[in-house]
Amino acid sequence: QAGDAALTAAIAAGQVGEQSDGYLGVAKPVGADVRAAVESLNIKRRAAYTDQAAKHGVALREWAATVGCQTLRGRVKPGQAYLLPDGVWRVKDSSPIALPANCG
Amino acid sequence: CIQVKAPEKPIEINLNVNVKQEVVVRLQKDAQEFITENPELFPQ
Amino acid sequence: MAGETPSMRKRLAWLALLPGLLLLLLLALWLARKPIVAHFVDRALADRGVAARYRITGVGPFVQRIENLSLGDAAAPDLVADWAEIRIGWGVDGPYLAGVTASGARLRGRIVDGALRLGAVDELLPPPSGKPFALPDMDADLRDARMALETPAGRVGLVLDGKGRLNRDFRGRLMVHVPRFAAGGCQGAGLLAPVDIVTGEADIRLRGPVDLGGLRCGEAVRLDQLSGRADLVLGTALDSLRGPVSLLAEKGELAGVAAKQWRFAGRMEADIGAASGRISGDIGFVEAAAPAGWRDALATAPTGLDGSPAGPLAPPLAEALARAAGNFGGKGRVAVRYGKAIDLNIADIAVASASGARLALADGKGFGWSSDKGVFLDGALQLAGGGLPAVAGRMTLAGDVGQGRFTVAPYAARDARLALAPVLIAAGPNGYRLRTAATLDGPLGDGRVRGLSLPLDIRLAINGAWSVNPACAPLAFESLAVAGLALAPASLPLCPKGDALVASRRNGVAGGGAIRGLRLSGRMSGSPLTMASRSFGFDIGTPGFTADAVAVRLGQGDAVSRLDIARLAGRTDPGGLGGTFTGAAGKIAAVPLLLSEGAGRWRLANADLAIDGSIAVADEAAEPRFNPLRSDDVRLTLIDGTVRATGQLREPATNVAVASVAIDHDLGRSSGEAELDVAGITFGPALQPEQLTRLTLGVVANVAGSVSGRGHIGWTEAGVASTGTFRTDSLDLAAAFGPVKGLSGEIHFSDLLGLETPPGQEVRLAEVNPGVAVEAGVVRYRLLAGQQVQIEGGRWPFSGGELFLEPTTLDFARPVERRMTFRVEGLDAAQFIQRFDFDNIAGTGIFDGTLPMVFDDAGGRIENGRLLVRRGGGTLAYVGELSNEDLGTYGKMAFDALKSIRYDNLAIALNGNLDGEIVSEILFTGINEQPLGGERLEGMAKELTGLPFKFNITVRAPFRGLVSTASNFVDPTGLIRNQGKGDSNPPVQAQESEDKR
Repeated sequence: QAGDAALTAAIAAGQVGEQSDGYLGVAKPVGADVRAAVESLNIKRRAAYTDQAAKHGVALREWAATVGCQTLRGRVKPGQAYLLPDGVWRVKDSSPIALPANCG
Repeated sequence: CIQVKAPEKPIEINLNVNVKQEVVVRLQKDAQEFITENPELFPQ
Repeated sequence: MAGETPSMRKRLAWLALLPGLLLLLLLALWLARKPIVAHFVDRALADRGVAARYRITGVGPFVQRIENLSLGDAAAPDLVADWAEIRIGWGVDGPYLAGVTASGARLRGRIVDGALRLGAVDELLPPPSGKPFALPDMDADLRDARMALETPAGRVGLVLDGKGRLNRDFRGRLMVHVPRFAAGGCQGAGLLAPVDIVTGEADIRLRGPVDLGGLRCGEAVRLDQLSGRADLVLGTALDSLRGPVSLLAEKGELAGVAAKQWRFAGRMEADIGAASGRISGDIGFVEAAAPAGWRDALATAPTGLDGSPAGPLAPPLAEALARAAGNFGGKGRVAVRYGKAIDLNIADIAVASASGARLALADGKGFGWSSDKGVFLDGALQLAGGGLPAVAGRMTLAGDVGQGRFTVAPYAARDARLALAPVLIAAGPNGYRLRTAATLDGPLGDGRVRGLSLPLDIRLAINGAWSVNPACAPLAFESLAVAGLALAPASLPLCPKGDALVASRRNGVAGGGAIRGLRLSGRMSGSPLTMASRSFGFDIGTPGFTADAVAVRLGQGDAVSRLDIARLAGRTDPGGLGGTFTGAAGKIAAVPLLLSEGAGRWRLANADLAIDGSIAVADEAAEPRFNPLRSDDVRLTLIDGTVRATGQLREPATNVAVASVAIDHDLGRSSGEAELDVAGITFGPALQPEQLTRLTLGVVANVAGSVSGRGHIGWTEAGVASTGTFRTDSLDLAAAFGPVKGLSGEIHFSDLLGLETPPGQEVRLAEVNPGVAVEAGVVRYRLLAGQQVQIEGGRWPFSGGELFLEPTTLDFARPVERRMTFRVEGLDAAQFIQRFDFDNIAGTGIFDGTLPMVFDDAGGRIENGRLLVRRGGGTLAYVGELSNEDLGTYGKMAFDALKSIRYDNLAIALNGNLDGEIVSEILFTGINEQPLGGERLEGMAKELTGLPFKFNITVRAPFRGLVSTASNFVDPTGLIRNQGKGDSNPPVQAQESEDKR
C-alpha cells in the first residue's frame, strides 16, 4: 500500500538501504511512515529468516547475513545506500561492492 | 618433578569452544533463491 | 340632416322626424279637393308629373272630401287614402287650410343619404323655405293613418290616430313599429312604441311605452325584452328631442355582466340638427351573475398554493368572490354623449351582492370610455363585505396613463393571515405596474411562519402577460417554525433566477428564486442551530428547493454537532420536508469521529429527522488510532432531541466488516454514548492490521487469526469516557522479538480511545520464538497511555523449571530498546539438555538465574545473563568423540575429565545475540568420576578419579547452533593452567578458529 511506495522512494533516494546483516537500514533521516515501513519489512524478513534458518539448520543471524551477501552483491543500484559490517553507510557507484568476508 | 599427591587445589582448565558456523557457499544459492521467491520482502 | 352617424345617433335622429312625416301627410290630403280642385289638381299634378287617382266626392266652401286617393305609381302608390276631408278656412288674407280629416291613409317613404324621399308626394311639397321647420296652424283628424318608411337601419311602420290643432294641441296615438333594425354595430328586433302624441305651441310631447324585443351590440350589449316609458319633448322645429326616458330589460347582459333585469331611468337630450345628444340617468341591474364558467374556474384555481402559508387563504377568498359574483345588483349614474365624438361615463357606481359584498366607485369622474381618449377612470373605490377584504383608495386613469393608491385590509382565513401594504398602481403606455409589500402568517409544512414579508413589484402588460419581482427583494420573517425547527428573525435577499421571480408563460407559470448567502439561526429540539448556505434556490416548475455549500451547526460549547453539505435538495409535502444530499461531512457533538463523503436521502417530519445513506468515518485524533472506514447502511434519526445513528463500518479497500456502531446522543444535555460491536475481524493475507490502524505498523506483521469484542464510548459536557473488551482465541503474528504463535486472551480497556487498560491484563502465548522457542507462556501486562506496555510479569515453563519475565515497561511509540529481564527458577539441566536433544552431553543439576534481554530493531540479545546451580550441584558428562585433532595433553585430559564430572557449583554467564552468537562462560569445580586417559602426566596415579578440577569453559556458539549442533563441539582449544596461577577470572584466550563444517 502507501507504505510500500514511500519505502521504494526512500530506497531510490538513498535514504534507506540494504545492510550486510540481511536487514533494511535507515541511512538518512526519514519520516515516521518510512521508518515504520522499514520496521514492518524487517519484522517480516525476520519471521521468514527464522523459518529458513531452522530449515537450513543455521543460526538466524547467519542466514540473514547470507541473504545480506546476495542483496549487496546484486540488488543495490548505483546511487542507493548500503551498509557493511563496519557500520559505515556508503553510496553504491558503478564498481561492485566489497563484500564482507563471510560472503565467500 | 612435580610431586603428585591429592592436590589440595583443583586442576584449572580453561577451555575455549568456538562453534563457528561458516555458512558456506552452498547456502548462497539458497539465499538467492529465497530472495527471488519473496520479492515483496526485497523492494527495489 | 347630418351625414351618416354612429348607431345611437342614427336611431334617435329619425325618431325625431316622425312627427314631421305626420305633418306632411296632412298637407298632401289638403290638396285633394273635389273636381274643381280636381282639375286644378290634375293640372298641378300633371305639372309636377305626379300620377294620381282620386275621386273628389264633395267640395264645399269649407269642406272638400276626396276618396280612394292614390298618388304615385298605380302599382305602388306613394300615398293612398280611403277618404279625406279638407276644411278650408277663410281668413283675412283669403282661404287657408283649417283642418284635415283622413282615414286609412297609407304613405310610403324612404330615407336615402339621410334625406327623406316620399316619392310622388315630394313633388307636391313646397320647396324648402330655409326657415326652421314648424307645424302648420291647422286642425287634423287622422284615423288609422299609416306610413311605411324604409331607412338604412330597417323598415319602420307608423300608425297615427289623433286629432287636434296641429301646432297647438293635436292629441293622438302614434304606433311606431320596427320589426328589425341594425345600426352602428347594433341589431334590434321587435321595436313597438305606442306613444301618445300631444303638440303644443312650444313643443310636441311624445309619451308612452316603448318595447324592444332584443338588442345586440357586438359582445358588449345583449339585452332582451326591453320595455320602457318615453316622455319626450320634440322641438317644434323638429330640431331637438329631450325628456325623461326609462327602460327596463329582462335578462340582459351588458359589458359581460348578465343580469336578470336592467333598469335605466334618465333624461335624453338630442340636438337633431347637430346630430349630437346626451343621455344621462341612473342605470341599474339586479340579480346579475358572472358567467358560470368563470365562477367555477375561480373556485378551483387556487390549488397551486397548497402547502404554502397562503394555502388556507385561497379557498375562502375564491369562494367569497364566486359568491359575490353569483348574485349581485348595481347602479350608477350613466352619461352618454354622442356627436362628433362619443363618450360614455358611469359614475357613482355602487354594486351590492347577495353575499353582502359592496363595491362603490364614487367622488370622481367615475369610469368611462371616450372614442378619442380611450378608457378613463377617476374616483374613490371602496370594496367591503361578503367575506372579501376591505379595499379603499383612489385611482385616476386617463387614456393609458394614470396612477392609483389602495389600502387593502388584512385578510385572514382559518389559520392564515395576509396583510398588504398600500398598493401603488402606475399605468403606462405598455401596461400597469402594481407595487406593494405582502406580509403573511400561515402554516408551512407541519409548522408555521409569522411575518413572512416580501415587497412585490407586479407588472401587467397590455397583452395580459404578468410578472412578479424582476429584481431582488428582501424576503424576511419574524419567526419560522417547521418540523421542530424554530428560526429567529431573518432578512434574506431573494433574487429572481430568470427575468422574474414568477411570470406568466403561454402555457402556465414559470420562474424561480435564489437566495445568495443564506444565513439562518434558531433552535431545533431545544438546541441552538445556525444554518448558512452559499445559495438556496427554488424553481416554480419543480416544487422544492436546492441548496449548495450548506453549513449547519447544532448545539453549543464543544458539543456542537457540525454538518457541511455540498449539495442539498428537498421538497415540502404535507408531511414535512424530504430530499437527497451529497458531499456531506461533519461531526456529531463530542463523538471523536469525523464524518465525510456522506450521501443519501433525508426526511424531516414533525421534528423527526431521518437520514439514510453512505458515509466515511475517520478518527478525529491528530494521531488517528484507526484508518478511515466506510459505511453504506447508515441510518440516523433525530427524534425528540435525541440523535440515534447506526451503521456497519467497513474497511474501504476490502469491504471487510470491521464494526457495527450504534450512537445515541441527547442534544439537550449534549451527552450520549456509542456502542462498537466487532463481531469478528479475521486477519490474513487479504487483511492485515496496518490496513485498519497505523499503530501496529512496525510492531507486528503477518498477523493471522480473528479478533472480536465490544467497545463503549460515553460522553457528557464534562468529557469523553470509553471502555472496551476484545478477545482472540488464537492469533499468530510476527513481532520484533520473533514470531508468536497461538496468542489468546482478553483485553479490557479502561480507556479504549486512549488505549489504556487496568492492571492485570493477561495473554497466553502458545509459542514465542525470540531465537529459542518457548511455549505456553502467560504474560500479565497493562497498556498505558502513549503506547506504553507495562509488563507486570510473565511465566513460561522451561525445562522443568520456570522462566519469569520481570516487570518492565516497553515503549512502542518510539523505536527504542526494550529491556526485558527473565528470571530462571529450577531449570533442570537434564530436561534442558534433553529438550534441546544434545545427544552427546548429559548432565543434571537444578539451576536458577537471570537473563536480562534487550530487544531492538536488530533483534534480541542477552546482556550478562547469569545461571547458578543450586546446592547439591550435579553431574556433567561429555561423551562426544573428539575430532582427531591434536588436542595436546591438556586437551585430552580435559575431555577425559569431562567424560564424567561431579560438580558442586556451576555458574554460567551468558552474553550475545539470541539469533546469533552467544558467549557463555561456564565456571565450575568438580571431581572426575572417570579415570583420566591419555599419557600420564609425570607422577600422576593411573586410576585417578576424584581429582578436583576447576573448569573455565568459554563457549562461543550461535545460540541456534548451540541448540542444534552442540553435539559436535569443534576445535576445543584450551589451555590448562595448573593450579599455581589461581587467577580467578579466566584469562582472555586468543581466538583461534578454523573453518569447520
